[in-house]
Formats: sequence, structure tokens, C-alpha cells
Amino acid sequence: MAKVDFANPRMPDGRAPTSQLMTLNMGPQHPSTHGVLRLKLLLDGEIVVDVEPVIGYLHRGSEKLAENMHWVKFIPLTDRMDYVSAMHNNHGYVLAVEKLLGGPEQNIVSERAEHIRVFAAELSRLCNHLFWMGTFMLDLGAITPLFYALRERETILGFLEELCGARLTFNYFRFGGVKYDLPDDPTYLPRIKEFLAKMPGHIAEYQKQLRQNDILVARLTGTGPLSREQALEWGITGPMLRATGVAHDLRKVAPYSVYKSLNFEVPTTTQSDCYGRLHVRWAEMVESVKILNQVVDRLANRNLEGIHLNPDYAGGKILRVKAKGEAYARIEHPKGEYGCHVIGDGKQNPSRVHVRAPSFANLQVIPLMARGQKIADLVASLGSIDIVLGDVDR
Amino acid sequence: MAAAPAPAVPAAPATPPAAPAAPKPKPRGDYAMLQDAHPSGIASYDVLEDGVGVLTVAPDELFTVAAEAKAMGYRLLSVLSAYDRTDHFGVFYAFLKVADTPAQFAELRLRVVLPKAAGEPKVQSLVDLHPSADWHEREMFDMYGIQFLGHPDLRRMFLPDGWTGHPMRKDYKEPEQFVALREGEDVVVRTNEEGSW
Repeated sequence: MAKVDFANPRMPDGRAPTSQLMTLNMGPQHPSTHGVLRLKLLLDGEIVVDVEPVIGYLHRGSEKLAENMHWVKFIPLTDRMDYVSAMHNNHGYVLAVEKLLGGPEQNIVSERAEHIRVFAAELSRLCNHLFWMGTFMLDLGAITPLFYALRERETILGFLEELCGARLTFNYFRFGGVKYDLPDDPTYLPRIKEFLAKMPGHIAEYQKQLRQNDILVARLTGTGPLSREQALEWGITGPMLRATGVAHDLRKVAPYSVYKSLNFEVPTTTQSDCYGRLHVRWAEMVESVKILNQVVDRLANRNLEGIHLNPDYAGGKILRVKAKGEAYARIEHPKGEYGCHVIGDGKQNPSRVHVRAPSFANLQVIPLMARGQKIADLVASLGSIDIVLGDVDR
Repeated sequence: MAAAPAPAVPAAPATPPAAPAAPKPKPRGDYAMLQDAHPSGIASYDVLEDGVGVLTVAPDELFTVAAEAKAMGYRLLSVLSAYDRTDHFGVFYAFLKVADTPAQFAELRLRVVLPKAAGEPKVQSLVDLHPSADWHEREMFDMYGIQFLGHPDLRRMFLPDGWTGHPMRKDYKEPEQFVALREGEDVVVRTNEEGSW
């Protein structure tokens, strides 16, 4: 997007402005920018003429750090990129390195470990969407939905804590499997089943409360529009793309792990505005519950083959021998496509790790969504993208 | 949406070449179509360790090849990455056919190799074709100093505007002092006296 000329401002259609335009700085310390995002706004009264996002305030140089540490040691750093759904970051990175180690088929992960991975990832997806819904409503001035969302998120974080000992930065996936098997506690899976049985009711509860709120619906409908063409041009993925009516979900179209054997739908809507995105994420939560039910049943009833971590790949030595070449792996992160491009030289450090962050790619369209709308709707549009600044800046 | 790529049509002549040590993989489907259409622009075809092919494209024909790929249905720029090897920089692109079903889904990867001997790395920008390349190219300019010719606003993406050097280059040296220049502010200089920031 061409740089906004704040000295000689023009209207979006190229005309000279008829009134005095104002330049306003928003962020980087602003509660509704979800972290340290800075937006330079050009305003005509209350109407947004143009926006220029400025990022980099949380840039920690993770990719450079990766080149100076062992392959395995980078896994906890991926947690700190998108800390709201850290399991998926682990998954994307581990999958890319496993392609170097095990080739395209990467049959180095046992069926049991794959199911535990999907189990952890889908719980994480529920967490992400719940937290997104809560903070999105907070952006709009509604505080109560956050408490409802965090109530369920707390339960899920408790389950994840039992699984891997951490509540936010999990550091759970390993090359060849996952760090720990399921907890020994025989009530673990039954408790999860019990929670999953309640979850659709909880989602219906949020929907009931928010859909019946006329102010909210009016505020979200038509806000932050994005056409299908624009979404494709601007490399938008994830729920943002599915809200434009494209059922593009990597779990379905390019299945990884055991998603091929699971039954679930890809929810879409053609109402590509903030309300449509809320709707898609609600529906995705229902699908995640569906996936989790199947995975938990398989883990509980079937003796899935193998152990949780392939011992041949658990140590670091194998990486020095086999991590050679170049690979790219992509997964369906709750925010969009998350990918890792890795290059190895057969040394203990990677030569290159690039993370394709969904928040970074999706944030680019904020000027398109905000132009011509009210400044208050800019906050709604920004919230509907679902960004985490740790993921944007890396 | 175009149909799934046609099965591989061996374009090789009937006489087999003298047995090579390791047979080079042959491009198939859309890769073969692209290579046939641009024999001068595409230097080689390789298969990466994850089993997906990649075409190495000449830096000044990248736009043409990517435009043709877009016309074939590869409309989503999935990833743009760069890397620094001992003798060259590389830029790596992956394009996707956005699909509702696995049969329609396809991926196409391109790569540009920029030898260090040829001076500062320069490559055509894809912004006019894929607007989403904007920030990705700015990131790679920031980190590797790769010039994307034709980019409308090639500024640093993450680092402060006053930063010197491109930190992801393998020969990058940590600066003795850091000069932060911000719009309309005085110069802030921090020195690296203790040996660590």
C-alpha cells in the first residue's frame, strides 16, 4: 500500500480535501490495539481517510536468535510469537523440521502422538477463539462477554496445564512426537468429555446474548468490509478469508497430522464484515468441539499404536546428521496460515528459520477495511482481524 | 478455478541421456507448463526435502513467470521468505490455488538466486501482481537488504529507520552504538560499553 502522504493529504478518490484533515496518532500504547501496534490516522472529522500501521515495537529478532541456537531450543521461542495459541506455533515449526528429518511422508510420528497433537491443537484453537471473542467485545465496550469467555478458557487452560505443565507458553511439541503422554489420571479424558458435552451449550449462550443485542449487531454489520477479491489479493487466510465465502481450510484442503480421518465442516459466510467474522469463529468453535470429541474417543477407546515420542528423534544428535536441506510446512492456525520455512546444513543450529505469521499477513488490509468508516469502527475492524503483536513482530 | 494439474507428460526425447549419477527430477503439471512457457527465465527445477518442487527463476523474469502462475490460478501469495547462503542470497515464494476441496488445491513454489558476486541483491517486486507482497518484501529488505525493484515504498518494516545494516545477513556485525532516529525527535545514541545491550 502506498505510503500515506500526511503533509499533502488526499482523499481516497484522489481529490484535494475540502475540509481541514487531522493527523492522529493511535498507539503504540493503546488498549484496543492488542499490544504495541501504532496506527497513524488521517481523519476528516470522525471519518477515517487513511491509516498507516507502524509495527516493530515488539520485534525480538526470533529468526536471528534461531540461527544461534540448537534446533530444539527454538521450540519455546515459537510459543512467544503468538502466545494466545502457542500449541499451533509449536506444531508448525515441528512439522517443518520433521519434513527435513523424515522426508515428505514424515512417518516418524506415531499415530498416538498425532492424536495427542490434534487434541492439544484443537483445545488451543478453542482458547484462541474464546479469548478473541472476549477481547473483541471489550474493544467494543462490552465487558461482560470477556468473563464468560475466560470462564471456559480457564477450564481448558487447566486441562492443558495437566497435559504439559504450562498454561500459556506450552513448549509441548517435539520432533517425533510430544513431550509428555496424556496424564495418568484416569479421570482426565472423562472430564474432558464432560466439558466437551457442555461446550456447545456455552457457545449457544454467547450467541444468544450477543445476537439479541441490537446495538452490537448494528455496530458490527457492515463494519470493516472486505471482498473476496480483496482478500485473495492481500493474502488473507483463516477465518477472515472464510468470512468472504471461500471454504479454504488447510486442515481440509491440504491435510496434515490426522485431520484427514476426522469429520468436520469448514464454516463459511458471505457476510464479510465484523459480524460475519464473529459468526465464522463461533461456528469454528463448534467444529473444534466435534473434532475433539472424535479424538478423545479414539484416545480413550482405541489402543492407538506407538508411544508419544519417537526415541530416535528425541535427542539432539540426529538433527546434526539429518537436518539438511530446505522445507516449508504450513498449518491452519486459528488466525490463518502459519508456516515455517527452514533450511538446515546438517549442523546443530538451523541456517534459516522464517515464520510466516498469520497476524502479520492479515494486518496489512486494515487501511482497506477502515477507509471511509468512523474511527470507532476502526477499532472494531482491527479487533475482527484477530492479531497478536507478538506474532506480527516476531 | 482451473482443474487439477494434468498428469505428467514426459517432454524428453526418445533417446535417453547418458546415465547421470543422480537423475534430476522432472517437473510435472503446472511446473512443466511454466518451464515450457519460459525456457529462458527458468534455470532449474528441484524438489525440496518436503517433496514439493521449486522452480529457480531469473531475477529479471520473476514478474512474468509469477504473472503466468497467477493466470493459472495461483492467486494467493502464501509465503515470501529470503535466506543467506555462503555465496548467494535467495528469495523463496510459494503461491496457492485457493480451494474448497483437496482436488482443487495446489501449490507452486518459485525461487530466485542472487549471487553475492553480482553485487547488492536486486529482484523484481511482485507488489503490482500480489499487493500482499508489500509487507513481506519490506521485511526481507529490512532483514537482508534485498532491493525489490518497483516496490512503491521500500522502507524498513520492523527496525527503526535509523538502523544501519541488515541483521539477518550472515556477515552482520553487532553495531558498536545504536542510533535511534524517530520522526521529529532528537537523536538518541546508546553505546555498547558493557559489551551487551
